[in-house]
Amino acid sequence: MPDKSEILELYEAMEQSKESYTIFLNEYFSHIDSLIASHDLPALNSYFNELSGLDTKEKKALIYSSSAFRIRSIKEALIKEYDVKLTMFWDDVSDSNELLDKYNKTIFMIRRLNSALPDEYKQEAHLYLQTVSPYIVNAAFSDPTVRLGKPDYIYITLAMDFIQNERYDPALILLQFVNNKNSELLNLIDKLKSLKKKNLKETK
Amino acid sequence: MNDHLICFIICTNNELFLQECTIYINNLYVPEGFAIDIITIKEARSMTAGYNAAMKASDAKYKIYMHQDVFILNRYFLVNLINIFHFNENIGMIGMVGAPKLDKEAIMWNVYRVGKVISDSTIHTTYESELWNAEIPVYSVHAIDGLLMATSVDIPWREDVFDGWDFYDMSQSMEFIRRGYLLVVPEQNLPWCLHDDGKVLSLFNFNHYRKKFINEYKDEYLR
Repeated sequence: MPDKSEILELYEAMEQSKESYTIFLNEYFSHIDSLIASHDLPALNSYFNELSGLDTKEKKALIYSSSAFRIRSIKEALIKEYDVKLTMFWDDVSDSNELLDKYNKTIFMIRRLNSALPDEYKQEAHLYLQTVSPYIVNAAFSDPTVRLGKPDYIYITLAMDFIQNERYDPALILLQFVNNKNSELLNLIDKLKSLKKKNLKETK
Repeated sequence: MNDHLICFIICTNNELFLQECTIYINNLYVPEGFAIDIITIKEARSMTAGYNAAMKASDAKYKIYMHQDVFILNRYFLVNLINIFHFNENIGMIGMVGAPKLDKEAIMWNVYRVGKVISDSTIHTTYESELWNAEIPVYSVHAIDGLLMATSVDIPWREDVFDGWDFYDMSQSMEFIRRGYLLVVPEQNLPWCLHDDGKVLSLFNFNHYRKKFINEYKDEYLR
């Protein structure tokens, strides 16, 4: 357990800095909202780089906001989606609330696959998770504010859904995220890679 | 008062969380002869104000005050609660996490606690619902975490003092103790609930209400 005096100091500092922290967080979310509305990924990335270099007391407010953590995780996934030209997770949202709701829904749906809920809810999860990129699923598992279990099981389950729908690229990405790959899985990854190469040649 | 009704009471500001929360509630086994009800409070002035309004609106003997971001995983949850309440009629409140003893700083999560919620160490375990029986211990506590507070008796929440979103749980725990009720947390093999609170909390008002709590219960909370 943390030292009592340190904890008390922290809470006292939070109480004293409440106003400046609140102003900082409001400005942060207002700026993030405008970047999400314009879907300007380079500007979003620059803003996060700017924040990293910032040396102010108010910046501390970000570590008390799980939403701020979650937006950073989504940003990482967006960059990867952009790099490989996948449909971007934020295409159909226009502010941070909508973006976070969509991300939270993704987390709920992943969680349903590990749950004892009735099949109709799991089926809804399977369908929904076909509409988001593997990078968002991976971002949720890597996000320090999110509690999700059994990543390998989820990656494999979702990859199989994509394969059934003949969407081999996202399936390949998901399988590459699996931590403990057995020989069967490695063979499947090789097959999907060959298929990808073949498709690329045919497209050319 | 309806002795065979269990009412869930949830203050909410997010429809998505509320919907997911209720999916897990509706997946629970309901004890034979009982019915459940869900009351949701939107735009509450404070947690205590929202909970008081819902408490007055329901004639259920058993009320479960919980956060919208709590997902109940143990399908025997309601059966267990009723069995624990019936096990000892002096039990007024059951929680998932609680502190057997507070220290003078009155910070619940900085003292020894009993009970559990899904954590990073248990999240990967295959979940099995657990049926409570009288051989499984329940721990007497002085304070129950507000993520979930199940009660068998209506006691007003102190909206006159705790008019925000902090310390309403510790205050209500003290109000139950003042009236001679026992507060307990059952031993859980696997946590009965998952609390999707984002692991970090905005506690800008925490210290303000902590001081109010100390002031209000100064002669009692260290007993």
